[in-house]
Amino acid sequence: MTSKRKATDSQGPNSDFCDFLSELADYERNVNRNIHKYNAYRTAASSLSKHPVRIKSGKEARELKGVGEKIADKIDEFISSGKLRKLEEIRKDDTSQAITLLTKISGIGPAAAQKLVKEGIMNIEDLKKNTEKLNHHQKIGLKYFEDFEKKIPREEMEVLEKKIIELCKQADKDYLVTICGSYRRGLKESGDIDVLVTHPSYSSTDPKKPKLLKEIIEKMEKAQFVKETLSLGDAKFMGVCCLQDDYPFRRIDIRIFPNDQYFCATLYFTGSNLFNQQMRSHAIEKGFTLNEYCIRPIGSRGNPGESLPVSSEKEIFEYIDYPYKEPHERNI
Amino acid sequence: MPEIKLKHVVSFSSEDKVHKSENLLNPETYRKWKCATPGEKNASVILQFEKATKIHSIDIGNESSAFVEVLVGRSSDSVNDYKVLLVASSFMSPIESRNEQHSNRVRMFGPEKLAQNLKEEKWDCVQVVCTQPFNKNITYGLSFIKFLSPPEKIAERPVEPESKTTTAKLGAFKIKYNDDEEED
Repeated sequence: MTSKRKATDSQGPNSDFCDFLSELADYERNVNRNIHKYNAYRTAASSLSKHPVRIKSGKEARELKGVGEKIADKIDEFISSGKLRKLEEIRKDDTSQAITLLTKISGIGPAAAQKLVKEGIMNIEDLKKNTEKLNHHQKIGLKYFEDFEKKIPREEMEVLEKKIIELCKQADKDYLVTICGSYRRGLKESGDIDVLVTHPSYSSTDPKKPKLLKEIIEKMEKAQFVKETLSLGDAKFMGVCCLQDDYPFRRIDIRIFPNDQYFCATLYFTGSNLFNQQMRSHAIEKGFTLNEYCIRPIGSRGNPGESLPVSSEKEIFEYIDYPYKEPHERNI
Repeated sequence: MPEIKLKHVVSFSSEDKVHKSENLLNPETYRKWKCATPGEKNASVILQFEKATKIHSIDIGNESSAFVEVLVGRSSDSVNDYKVLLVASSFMSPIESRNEQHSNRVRMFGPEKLAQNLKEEKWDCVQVVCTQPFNKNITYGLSFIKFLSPPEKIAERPVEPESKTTTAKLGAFKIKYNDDEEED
């Protein structure tokens, strides 16, 4: 979910269309800060990637979900000329190139990237000379930039999962641990490690229990598994871990949720983003509102009701009468 | 906590021939109110109090509804202006609804469960909205609903500490009565 590089596994007969749409999407998000255009391009890229046969014209593409007139025009242009003027211009533009590059660093978002570029910082070398402009998170993002760019193969994720669960259970055997994100959706590689934790003693009606998370982190530091801390709050840890020598350093996020919110959280953090969007809009059609904490019925005046009891992901699907999807079926 | 007297039914979305909305007026009988036909989108009833009163807590006895919501207003308001006192609250899960299990759950909603900004005002009308989206083959409604007004105020005087470990408020300060034995 928090990965900088969404696994855009461009395969299938329309992968080149998907690639340029993804590039346009990133441009809209990082340079223009237009999240709606970003979402529009992402949706179109997603339907094209699922389409089983090669699209021959923009008109044909318009039949697909999320493809409108303008995207169809771009597909036509790409088919006839093999390239896209808009994309060529973006690629030529130093500023947008620099912003795109800087946002790849953990801790640097579009806003920070734009500020840095305005100050004349255009590449990694510039950044390394100006580390005083960076906060702690960004410095570490820069330090491990090459490693963080590397995808985590599923085999390594499996070993990481065992290790993480083992360390949590050492802290307290009652912890429930789920590695979410693309790994849970069964993908071959992941961008980072997204861990969700809960404890049977912790409910949302209780006061916050920061100790629950801190105990896990202490255990992981002692075991030399967690190497750096980017941030540690009551409910969320962001940091860097490493399986053992010779392995790259990996970004890891660990969040703790009360047990009654745990399944809404695992659903949300398993994704994909588009799956979540579709499921949430289906929920609204059925008169429910769904977020990473809870599902609530919508009342007669459009106001959300009380949080409904949830003790499995399946129950959330049942509330909104949505056919249950296993995590590996949520890759849209 | 005195029970608020219900005067009459102002309106209802539908009612069963036997299980009429008027049944809600008399809490002594265990007669219920149900909508007329299965699968109705929601079932609602508007009740009139004898006089405008603050609402302190609500007891609801369910009859096959999945969610129950309570809104408050005054006779001069139009129904659309009614405000939500108790948000849609769950009485039956999807599975229970489908299997028609636990259809008569009773829940009590104390002051902490009600909209905090409406508690201090007086109201003379309530609208109760029930829904049952999980089973379109049953009629649903309420078996009873009770509204309670705030407890009568006892003459204001400082409360004697009941146990050894307790706190009292003196102006802006909190006084803590410590357990003497723990002191030394």
